[in-house]
Amino acid sequence: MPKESSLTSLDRFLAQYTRLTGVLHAEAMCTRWGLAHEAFAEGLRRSAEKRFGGAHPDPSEVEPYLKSLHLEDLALACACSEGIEKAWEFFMAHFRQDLRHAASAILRASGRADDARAAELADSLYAELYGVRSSADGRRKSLFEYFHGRSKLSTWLRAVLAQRQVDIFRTSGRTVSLEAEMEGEAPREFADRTESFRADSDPDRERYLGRFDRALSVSLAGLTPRERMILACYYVDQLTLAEIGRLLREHESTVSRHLERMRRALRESVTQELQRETPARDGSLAEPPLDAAQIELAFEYAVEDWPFDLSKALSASEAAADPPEE
Amino acid sequence: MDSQDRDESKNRQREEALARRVGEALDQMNPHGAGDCPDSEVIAAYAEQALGPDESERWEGHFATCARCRKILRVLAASAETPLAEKEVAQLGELVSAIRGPVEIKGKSAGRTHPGFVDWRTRWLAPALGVAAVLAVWFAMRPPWRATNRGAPTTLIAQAPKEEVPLSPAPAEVDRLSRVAPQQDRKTQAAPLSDRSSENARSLNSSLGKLAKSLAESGNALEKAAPSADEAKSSLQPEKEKKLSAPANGREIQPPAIPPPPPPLPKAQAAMEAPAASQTGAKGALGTPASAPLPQSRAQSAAAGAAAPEVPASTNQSVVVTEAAPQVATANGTIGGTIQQGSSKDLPLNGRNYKALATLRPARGYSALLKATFGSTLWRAGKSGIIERSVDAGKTWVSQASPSQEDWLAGAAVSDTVCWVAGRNGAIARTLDGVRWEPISPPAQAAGTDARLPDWTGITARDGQSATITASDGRKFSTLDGGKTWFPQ
Repeated sequence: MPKESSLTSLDRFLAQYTRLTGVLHAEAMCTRWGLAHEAFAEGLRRSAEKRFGGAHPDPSEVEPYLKSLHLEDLALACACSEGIEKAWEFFMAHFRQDLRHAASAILRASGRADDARAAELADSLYAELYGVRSSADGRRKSLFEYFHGRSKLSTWLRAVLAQRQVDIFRTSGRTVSLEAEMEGEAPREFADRTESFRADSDPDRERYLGRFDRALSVSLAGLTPRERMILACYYVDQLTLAEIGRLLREHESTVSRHLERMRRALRESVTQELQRETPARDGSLAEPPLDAAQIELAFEYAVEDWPFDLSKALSASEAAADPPEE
Repeated sequence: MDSQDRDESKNRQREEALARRVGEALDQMNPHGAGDCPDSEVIAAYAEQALGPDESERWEGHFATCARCRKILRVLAASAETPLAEKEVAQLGELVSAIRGPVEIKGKSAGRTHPGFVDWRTRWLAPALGVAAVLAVWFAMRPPWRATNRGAPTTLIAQAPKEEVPLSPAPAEVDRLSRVAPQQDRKTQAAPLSDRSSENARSLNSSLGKLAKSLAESGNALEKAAPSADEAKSSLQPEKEKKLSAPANGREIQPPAIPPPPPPLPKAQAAMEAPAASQTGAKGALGTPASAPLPQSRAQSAAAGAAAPEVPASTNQSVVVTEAAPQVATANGTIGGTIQQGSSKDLPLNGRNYKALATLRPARGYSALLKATFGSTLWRAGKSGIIERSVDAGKTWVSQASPSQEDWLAGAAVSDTVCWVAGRNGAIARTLDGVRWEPISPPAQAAGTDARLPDWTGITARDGQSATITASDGRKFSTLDGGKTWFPQ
């Protein structure tokens, strides 16, 4: 019978970590709010449970994690979640202004909002923070219960607002007119038509694209997730190097070097794969290497049509990177 | 060369096209459902770089394919904690407006925004704010030698001790200080002015000259209230104090509690403590302990100082302050009918105004000012084991019997009655009733090879039984049983 994790219930958690939680309770200055040891320990347990999922982490993993948390913020969140008045007074005094600023920054300048709406957005959060919604057991569930101390409370609040606002925009974006949708479909149809036309023009086109697909899969496996993120930020979101640097906490020159290196590595890697003799897809016949002219054509066709499904390539590379657990 | 350049150019074009296609394909991929997106906390932790390398990598893989999360990250980064300027806000608005729903029409020619000037602005502001902060600190803490004659033996210099801790003084302390300060001003005025070159010092003199005139009456009144050394000595008694303070400002000065014996003081230090010692008897404006009985010479100097305030030079005749000097209550607007509390507070004094002076700590230092979580109980503890308690938010202080003569360096007040203090050479003490302090045995394992215990520089306490102490070398020890057993952290 598998042993149950110590993170699944408060009793088991306290039995395992009672001394540590006592010390963290003191460090977090929970007595400021009159927050009981058990209530704070429950917050710690929830945080560890969220972090380690259903796994059975060793105490040597859990303890550093618990110590690394923003304990004072977590204590405040737990106390607010418990509805302790002193904690709420402190929260309102110290975080209300930050929330207003964040709401203003996120919402007001979207061009259709004003100060009043920004204040409304910020203040609307309080109801959920206090927890007016009743869960299945009728208990008041506060939004604070979703804060686990992994970031500063102020950053978490801004993230909640940002997430909410982005979702509002995405939802409103769904109401696209039929005309716009039709326009959106048009290029795809056109692309299909041009693809068939080009396919007819070069009998080797499919072969080149097949080779390119396999070469690309190998090359993508060499990109780190961070590099893929940079690619998406730069080419899809059209962010500047400075903006990407801000996201990644890197200097823009570092991002620039990253991008440059990545582009070259990608091209060289694909080229090398195309120059290599590889087994055919069915494994029966080996395909000879492509010469320079063929490689050029392969690049041209690939960039023009791009019929590749990167999810397969990426999932294959992720599977290779993360061998299944025994 | 031309063919090389052509190849190079072709390669660059390929790289650019390929990278663009890969990026777009990643965005189109989005194999995850919305439920797979990280929650707000993970996004916040990622933005703070608080995630571990593995977790960061995992989520970056998701961000690469999830436009929604990337937008949230951008909005989060743009809505930094500092309030934004209008233009920054406008740019952020464009950013948010540009977010489209899943049904999205992409134009290849979409222009790229370049909010680079946002960074320029913030980069410019940061050093400017830093310079402003340095200037502000310099003005507040400007050393007194810039405005006073250093060599004059009679000059009263309110000099902060090197180890001073800027404690926030209680309002009552500020009031008392403002009563003390003019007396110091008059002494300063009596000193030679030859090397006072700063404009600050000149403005000090002119303003203090006016102040001195209006203080003459109040000084005389004080003379009458305390004409002799004997009376000054007896002013330690509460009844006398009430009589002394009542006509001056119409307000009672709280009698001190048991004043500890004064340590021998160097001249400059005595000069600083002098004003506080005379009028209120014990802890005056700066919480100074009671001084020795007022000697005759001090009473004489007080009489002389109070009688001739109008002509600054005349104060040279007999003012030789070696110990304490009498005080004149000046903060009250009723004295002479011309001095307002607000204006006197703003007057510069030895390069500091009264408010800045109020942050000074007397030589008998308090390393820790401890406030219970709620209520108005305060403790302060410091040199030579001194512990004092106030139950009225710092208006009055009562000395408490300390179980150790070591300097207290840190403390933690848990409630109105439970407090811990820790200090040099392993000293730890605790009170559970707010009155009686008991020594707590330090952790034996904290002792060094020479059996010497470390200085405790920090302490946090949860209640009367649980506390964590921090040694000067960074080691931490906790107890859950009131100090009977300690375990290292």
